[in-house]
This record gives sequence, structure tokens and C-alpha cells, in this order.
Amino acid sequence: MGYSHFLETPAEPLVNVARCAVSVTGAVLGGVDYLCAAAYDEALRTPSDDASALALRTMQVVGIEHGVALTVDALDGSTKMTELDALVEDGIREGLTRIEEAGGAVACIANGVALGMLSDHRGTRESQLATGRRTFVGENAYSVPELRSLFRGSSAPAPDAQPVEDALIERIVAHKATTRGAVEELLLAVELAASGDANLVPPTIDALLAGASVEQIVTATAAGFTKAEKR
Amino acid sequence: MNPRVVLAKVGLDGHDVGILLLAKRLMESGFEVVYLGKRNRPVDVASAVLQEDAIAAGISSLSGGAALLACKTIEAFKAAGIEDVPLVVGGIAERDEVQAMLDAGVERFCGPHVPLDEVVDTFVAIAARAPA
Repeated sequence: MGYSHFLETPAEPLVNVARCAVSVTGAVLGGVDYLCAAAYDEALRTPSDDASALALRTMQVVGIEHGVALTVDALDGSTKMTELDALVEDGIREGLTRIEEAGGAVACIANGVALGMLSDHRGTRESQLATGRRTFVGENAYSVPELRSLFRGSSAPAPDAQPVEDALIERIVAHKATTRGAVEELLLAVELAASGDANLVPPTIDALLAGASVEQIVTATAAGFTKAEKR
Repeated sequence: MNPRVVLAKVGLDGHDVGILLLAKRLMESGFEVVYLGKRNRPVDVASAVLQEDAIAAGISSLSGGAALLACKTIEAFKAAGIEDVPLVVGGIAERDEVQAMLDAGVERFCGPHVPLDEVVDTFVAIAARAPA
């Protein structure tokens, strides 16, 4: 499973398509079995329809047109890949040793060591870009501001958020009105299971199939857990 | 006492790398940061600002609606009687939306092209003019 993100520029959005293609190719060569590719305008807005469609087309081209996906583990035997594997493995072992020395995984979550480890390299890419150690075409390399209009694409401004929010609320209210009768008892079954030792999965699936919302499932589960705690 | 700021992700957006990075840099710059995490409502931000006696607040949304949430946060500040706590907004917004949130009273909008140092400097400037 992967998400093909990459350095994304809002200044020359269409150039992000090339970055996306490289990222998708890397994911495919790495053996990804589920992939979501970022749209070219994600640095600007919630993706436009054309940008979303182009992200899908990018995955289709990489996946189908050139045979990249026809060989299992196509980079097997590559000296560079072996070197990178060793680098990643060493980093993982180092991290696991730090966790072990700090009292184990649970202790590290409780005492903030795990959070600290996550923060250790936060901002690395940003500082690499600022110092020029990482190249970003059109930004810190080959920057030609007067040509940026060539790379704008046809991404359009996102719709105003308030009508979108209002429409979503209206839709969920209408949905709940039509499913109320069907889900009430099923939600009670979820709550009952959560309040005891019963398997929560079957009643949850039943409620979802009848149209219960995630919020209704969570509320029913929380109510059951609360009852269990009070006992 | 170190100046205290409240940072929060608002709405349903979960992109928190930027705001966590900002929190880290603000702490390194002498601020005390109260980070509320993801999926906060504007009223939650206002409550935290009051409870923590913060000199500024920063909110972030990258999945659309940054301006709407910013304007609602300003409204929540007003409803809570908060008049002198600047709100800095980070994320992605259209040009018209940026103007709308600035008109509503947002101190500054920091889009993708604003360097982190500039965002930190914004909070430093707010701290410098905040009453002791």
C-alpha cells in the first residue's frame, strides 16, 4: 500500500505530473499492491477533477503501457538496491536498539521517547531544500519565473467550503432519516456487544449494511464501553 | 515566563507535518506550545486560548475550507470575549479566500510558499508586542 507523494510545487503545477510518474514508477518497482497517486494541484487546493483524473491516468500509463509491472521484483540483484536495503535495515536496527535501551515500546510511548524519535528528522527535507542540498526543479534549480504560466494546467479554484459543508450535512441528515427505523435495533446490538464480551464485528457489519453511519457506530460502541466501565 | 501559543488542526484535515514542525521550531525559539492535535472545532481553539492564557493561536487546514474555519475561529474568539489574541492560519486557500479571512481579522495567512522562519518570525513579532 502506498501514497505517491513527492515534492509538489504550487508555482508550476503541471510539472508535478512528471514527479508523480517517477514516484508511481518507484512504487511499482518496489512491489506496491495498492497505490494512490497525488494530483498535480495538491499544493494549491483540494484536487480538481482534471488533476484527479490525470493522477489516475498516470498510474494507468506506468502500470500498463511500458511493462514496468510485468516483472516481479525487477530490481532484484541491483547493487544499489542492496546498498539501500542495508542502509534502511541498519536504521531500523538502530531505532529498535534505542527503543529497547529506553525500556521497550510501551515505555517509549508513555515517556515521549517514541514521539521524540519521530521528531528527530522532522524538517530534514525542508532544511535540505533551504540549503540547496536537495534539488527542486523550477524552485531552487532551473527557476524561470517568466515561464511559469506554461505549467499552470487547467486546475480550477475549489468550491466555496460553506455550501459543500451544508450539502454534506443535508445529505447525512436525509440519510439518517431514511435509515432510522432499520438501524436503531442494530445499533442497540452494537452497544450491547460493546458492553460485554461478545464479538463486536458481526453486529457492526450488520449495522453498516443497514446504513448506519460511522458516527452512529462509534457512538453506540462508546456507549457500550462506558456501560462496561461502570460495572 | 515563556510566551504561550495554542496550535491546532481544525476541521477534518489530518496533514500535520507542517504544524508539528512549526511547534518544534517555536519551542526551540523559546515559546511554550500547547498543541491540540487534529480535528478541532473553532470553539475548541477559543476555549484553549482562554484556558491557557495564550498570546496567539495558529490553526492549519490543507484539505479545503481553511478560510471558512479561520472565519469561524475568529467568530468563536469574539463569542468568547477574546479580542487581543492574533490568529495565524496555515494551509492551502484560494486567493479570494485568503482575502476573506484577512478581512475577518486573521493576523496572517501562511501558504505553502512561506518559509518556516517567516512563520516563526510572525509569532516572535506577536510576542514582542504582547502585554507582559
